[in-house]
Formats: sequence, C-alpha cells, structure tokens
Amino acid sequence: MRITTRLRIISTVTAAALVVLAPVLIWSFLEFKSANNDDSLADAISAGFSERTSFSGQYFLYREGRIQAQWDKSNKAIDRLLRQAEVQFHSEKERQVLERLRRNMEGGADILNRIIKNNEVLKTAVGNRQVYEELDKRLFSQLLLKNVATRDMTTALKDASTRHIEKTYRYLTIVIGLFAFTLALATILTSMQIGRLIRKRLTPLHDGAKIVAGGDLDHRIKCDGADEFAELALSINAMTDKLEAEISAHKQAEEKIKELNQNLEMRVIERTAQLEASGKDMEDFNYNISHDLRAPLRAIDSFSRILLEEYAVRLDDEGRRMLKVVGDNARKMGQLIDDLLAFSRTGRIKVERSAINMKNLVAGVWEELQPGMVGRDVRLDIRDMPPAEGDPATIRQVVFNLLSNAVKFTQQRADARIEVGGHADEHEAVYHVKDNGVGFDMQYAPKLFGVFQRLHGMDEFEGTGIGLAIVKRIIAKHDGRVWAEGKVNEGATIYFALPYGKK
Amino acid sequence: MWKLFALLIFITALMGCQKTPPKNAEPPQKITVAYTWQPQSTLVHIAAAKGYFTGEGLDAQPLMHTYGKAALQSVTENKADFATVAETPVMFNVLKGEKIFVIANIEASSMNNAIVARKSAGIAVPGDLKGKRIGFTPGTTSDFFLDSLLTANGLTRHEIQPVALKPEEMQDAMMAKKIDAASVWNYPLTLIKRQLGPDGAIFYDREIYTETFNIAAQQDYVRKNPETVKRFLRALIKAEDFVAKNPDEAQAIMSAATKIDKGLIHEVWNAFNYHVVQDQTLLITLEDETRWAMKNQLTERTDMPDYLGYIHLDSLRAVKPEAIKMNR
Repeated sequence: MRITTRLRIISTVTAAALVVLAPVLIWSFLEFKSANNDDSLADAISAGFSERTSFSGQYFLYREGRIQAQWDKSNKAIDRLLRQAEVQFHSEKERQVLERLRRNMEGGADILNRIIKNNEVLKTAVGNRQVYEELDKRLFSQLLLKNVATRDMTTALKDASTRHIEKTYRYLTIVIGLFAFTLALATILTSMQIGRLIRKRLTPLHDGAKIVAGGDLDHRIKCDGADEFAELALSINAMTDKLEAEISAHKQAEEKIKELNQNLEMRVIERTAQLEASGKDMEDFNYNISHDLRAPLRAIDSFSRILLEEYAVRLDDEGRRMLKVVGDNARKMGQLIDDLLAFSRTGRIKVERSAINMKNLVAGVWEELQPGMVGRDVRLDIRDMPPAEGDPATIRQVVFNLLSNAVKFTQQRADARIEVGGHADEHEAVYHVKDNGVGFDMQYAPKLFGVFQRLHGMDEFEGTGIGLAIVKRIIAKHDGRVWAEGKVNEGATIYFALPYGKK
Repeated sequence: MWKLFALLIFITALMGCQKTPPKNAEPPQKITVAYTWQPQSTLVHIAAAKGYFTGEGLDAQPLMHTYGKAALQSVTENKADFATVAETPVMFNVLKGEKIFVIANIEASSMNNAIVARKSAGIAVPGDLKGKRIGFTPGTTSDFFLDSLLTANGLTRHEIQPVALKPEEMQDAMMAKKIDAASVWNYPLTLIKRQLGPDGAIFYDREIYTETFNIAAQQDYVRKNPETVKRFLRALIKAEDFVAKNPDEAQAIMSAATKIDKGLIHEVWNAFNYHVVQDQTLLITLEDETRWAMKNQLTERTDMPDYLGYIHLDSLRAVKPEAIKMNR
C-alpha cells in the first residue's frame, strides 16, 4: 500500500474518531453545566426550606404576625423555585423528590395555618384550654416532622445533583481522556508507522544512495513493493544508470579532448618552431641583406662624393645636381638600411628582466635628448610612475623612441609640452607619453606601429618610420601591450603596458 | 509494539468475561419474622415472595399476626427474631423496660389511621363524636390517633365512651352497633367503610399524626447476629426497590400472599410510603406518644426514655448509608 494512502487512512480514521467524539464532548460539557445549574437550584431550594423552618420555629416561640407574613413570603419563594426545578430537573427520581417536597410544603403550610387558627381559639378558650394547648403541641410536632422530612428531601435532592455533577464530571473526564487517547494513539501509530517505514524502507534507500554516492555506480537499490519508496528506489536506480552512461561518455570525450590537445600542442610547438625558424631566417636575411647592402651604398656614396669633389669642373650644373641627388639618396638608403638593421636587431635581443626606476630612466633619456633641442622650448612633465619589470636597455630604447617622437612632432609648437606618467594594478604597469604636437587621425592608428609607416611627409618631419615599430617589437618581447590615441593637431598619447611576474 | 498492545487489551477483555467463582454454598440461616397482614408489612411480604431473604442466605419463617403489637410481643417472648410493628407498641414496650431495637423504619403514613363512624349514630363531623362509643385497640396507633383526633376537635377522652377492641373485632362490633365509631387502620378501616356504605363517615387528619411501621428485634439478638440483621435489611432494601419500580406487581404479590382482594390493596396503596430508613420521624413520634402516655397515666414511668438507645443505626448504615437520616 502507498505511504500516502496509509497516512490518509490513519488521518481519516483519527478525524472520524474526533468528529464522533466532538459532539459527545460538547454534550458532556452541556450536561456538566446543566448538573451545576441543578446543584445551584438544589442549594437554593434547601436554603429556602431552611429559612421556612426557621420561621416556623420563630412562630412557635413568639406567635407574631410578622413571622406569619415572612412564612407566606418564604412559601411563595419556594414555590417559584420548585416550579423552576420541575422544568429544569429531568430524572424521574429527582422529580419524585420534587413532588414529595411540594406535598410536604403544602402539608406544612396547612399545619401552620391550623396552628395559627388554634392560636386564635386559645386566646379565648377557657374550659377546655388544655385540649387546645395539647393540639398546639401535636401540630407543632407534625410540623417538625414535616420540616425534618423536608430537610431529608432537600438533602436527597442536593445529593442527587451532586451525584449528577460527579457522574457528568466522570463522563467528561472519560470523554476528554478518550479524546486525548485517540489523538495520542493516532500520533503513536503514525510515528510507529513512519518509524517502521524508515527502518524497513528508507534505510536500504539511504544505504544504497550512499554506496552510489561513494562512486559505486554499478550498485542498484532493491525496490520491493509499490509505494513511494519503491518509486524513489527506481528513480535513484534510473538516475544511477544515466549518471553511469553520462560519466562514461564524458570520460570518452575527455580522452578525445586530451588526445586532440596533445596533437594540437604538438602542432603548435611544431608550427611555433617553424614560425620561429622562418622569423629567424627572415631576420637573418634582413640583417644580412642590410649589412650587405651597406657596402655598395657606401661605395656609391663615396664615389659620388669623389666625383663631385674631383670632377666637378668637368660637369655642368645639371650633372653636379644629379650627382648630388645620387649621393643624397644613397645616404637616405643607408639610413633606411641602418634603421632596418636596428629593427632586425631588436628581434634578436634577449629580454633580461629587472626592476626599473622609470622616473630616473625618463630623466636620463631626456637629458640625452637635450642637444637635439637647442633653440626649442620643450617642457617635460614627469609624473609619478610605478617601477617597471623589464629589460632596462630595451625599455630605455622604448622611452627614447617615444620621447624623441614627441620632441619631433611638437617642433611646430612654440609651447611644446610632453607628459610622461603611469599607473599600475596587480597585473601590469601602464605608462604613457603624451604630447601636444600635430597628433594623428585615429583611423590610421592601426598603421602607426608598422615598419616604415609614416603619417606625415618626409619634408615635414624627418625619420624613416621605424621608431614605433621597434617600440612595438620590444614591448611584445616583454609580453606587453602598446597602443595610441590621438587627434589631428591636438597631440598624441602612446601607451605601453608591461606585465608583472613574467620571467 | 501495537500487536502487543492489542494482545493486552484482548487478554484484559477475556479476564473481564470470566465468571466470578460461586460463593461457598452455606445452608440458609433460619430466622423467624413476625409480621402482619397489614399493608404496612408490604416490604416483608415482597422480600419473602421474591426470594430476597433466600438470596441473602436466610430461611425466613413467617409468624403472622393481625397487628404489630402482637408481632412485637412474639419478639419479646422470643418466639420470633424480627417483628414489623408501629411506633406505639414500641413505645409502650420501651416504657415497660423491654430491651428492643428498632433496626429500620419500613413505612410511614399520615393517611392510614382514621375514625370511621356511622352517620345513623348521629355522627356527621368529628365534633359529633362527643359522648359516642368509639372502639380502639389499646397500646396501638389506634389508641394514640383517637386521642389526637379528639384533641384536634377540642374533645378529650373523658367526653367519649372508649371501647377497647382488637382490630379484627372492630368490623363486627360496628355492624352489631356495639360501637358508633372505630379508631382503626387499614385494611379494617376501608372494609368497615365499604360495609357501612352511605351510612359511613370517615375522619382522617393527616396534619396531626404520622404513623410509622418498623422492624424491631431484641437488642441481644441484634448484637449477637449483626450479619443476619444486615442480610435481613438488604433483602428489605431490594423489596423497597422492587415496590418503587413495580407497584402493580407488588400489589399482586401482596394480594396473593395475604389472600386479600387486589382491589382493596390498590384502593389503599397510595396512603403508604415504603422506604427503608432511619429518620427523626420515629424519634419525635415516640417522644410525642410517650408524653401522651405519661400524661394519661398509661405508663408508670414519668421520665422520658432516651429513645436513641433503642434505635439501632449501625446495621442499616453498613448496608445503605444514605438511608440513615439522623445522627449523621
């Protein structure tokens, strides 16, 4: 049977028992209240008759009219109480007692009336006075008997009502006890049922789940019966099946990825080696060709100079001019080859990192640049900068190139200003060199760091366009980043970032 | 756990169903009960007829009398163990010095005693009794009631002609006109009234006298046989319960036991209250009657006996405590 069905049966039975008991409980309370009311009424009747008995005693002693009036009043009060009791009391025995009480009350009233009448006779009796005196005594004796009987009856009525209270109280106690017992029984049965289920059904489930959780995916929980626990066991087993399948697939995929990664790594190493080899070849080629080109260029330059000096008289003006153009271009080409050689050299350098005081480095470079700035008013603002981690010689080259560019591109400014600063976070230090020179159009920014890339004409600014390419290569050698921001005629800012913690 | 609980309940239920072992069968104790054919002895008749005495282990031998005074005499003469008797013979016997106990009151009535008279003798109202011959049974309630009724009507015994008669003699004396009126109780009272027909006048006075009928025994017997007394009382209490619940059947039993017409029994039935009690009624009435007896020199004693010494409460208290309504 399903657990929910079992629990539902227990709750339904309990609820039904309580529903049956509830009216009984209410009825018991009402009975108890009614018994208390009866008891109070019996007390009132008893008190009424006691008062009446007292009046009859007073009359026996004093024979006053006042006592007679109070007796009558007492009779009326008792009559009202008896009427109320006749409506209120239901037991046959109590009704019989009430009937006898009423008869007794009426009989007592008759006797007292007769005593009063005899008293009037006695006032005038002369000859047979003794007879009337005897009658008075006999009548009082009978009244006394009535009073005694009345007392016994009111006591009986009171006893009956007390018994009724006790009985209803017992009944109430039993019903409340039953109520409590039913609740307790239901609770105990439910607890036992749940306890039994836990022992019998939940424990194997728990143990099985624990084994599976421990990694034994081959374990399956036994699932007898057709209750929720069996369903749960089936679900756990199904989940284990799926988990097993997924883990198996995952393992396979992992193996494949591992294999692919290994292949990829091999290929990357291979390609990198190829790339490095071809890069090196290219650099070697560049270096060699640059180096090799220098000798014929020097020859052209030297011979064109000798021609111009020793054979100038044999040449006309056009010949001399053309010979000068040959010499100038040979020197320019020599400069280009030098720059190319320098660029190639940066590809061959080895970065050896150490801490660099950037403020001192900038100040040193600035000092070095001073001879080139004779006649110019260039103001350098060196701001706070974090120390850098890098190769001091190459980083000095970077700062040199950037500052000399800034000096160059501010040459048309009367109030040239250059600012060098930097900041750092936990990963890297970022430095900038900012000037208020001619600036550049941001759409050409990607070209800025290319080899021999120039954004301005040779006639405006000297240079071969290799400086920023060298900067980029050095920063790249440091695993850093370099970028630029600028605006035409408003200056440019070159940033470079050097990471921390690299070897 | 719950199975154990259910088993316990089952075993308890089984134990509850077991029959109680029968009491040791003892031979019934023989007692002699002197009682009357009168309605006042109804509880004894019922107890005998319904087997309540036997049920209590008593073999009750009846010793029948026409009135209680004679029944009490059987006890004082050691012919019977118990007697049913009105308070007046008890009073006279105490005054005579008899060591008796009243162990219970079994009946009370204010309507059992009356004076029945012949109208043709010139008696229409109680006052007409003056100078008339009135039959009475000395030393009985008839004696005291006559005096009470006369007193209630301003008469004394000296103003009438009292005629001492046994109760069974009353009816014939009235019919033979030897008496003009008779102070008598039932059944003779109703029988005389019936026989006189329209010539009969009956004078009750429920406000002046309350008769009691009691169980009396020798003090010595009560002391020596406390268990027997209790059994006897238990049987009477069962009879009281039966009479209260089955008045018609009780009347039929009385008719069968006394050979008295059921109509007559039914006619007088409501005049009686059958309760096994000990209350102040007996005590007050005994003292009233003692004062009357001493005043009229019906006894040589001049001091009031302590009747509490003649009313035995312990046995009834042991059997039915709530029936004790005095000295509580």
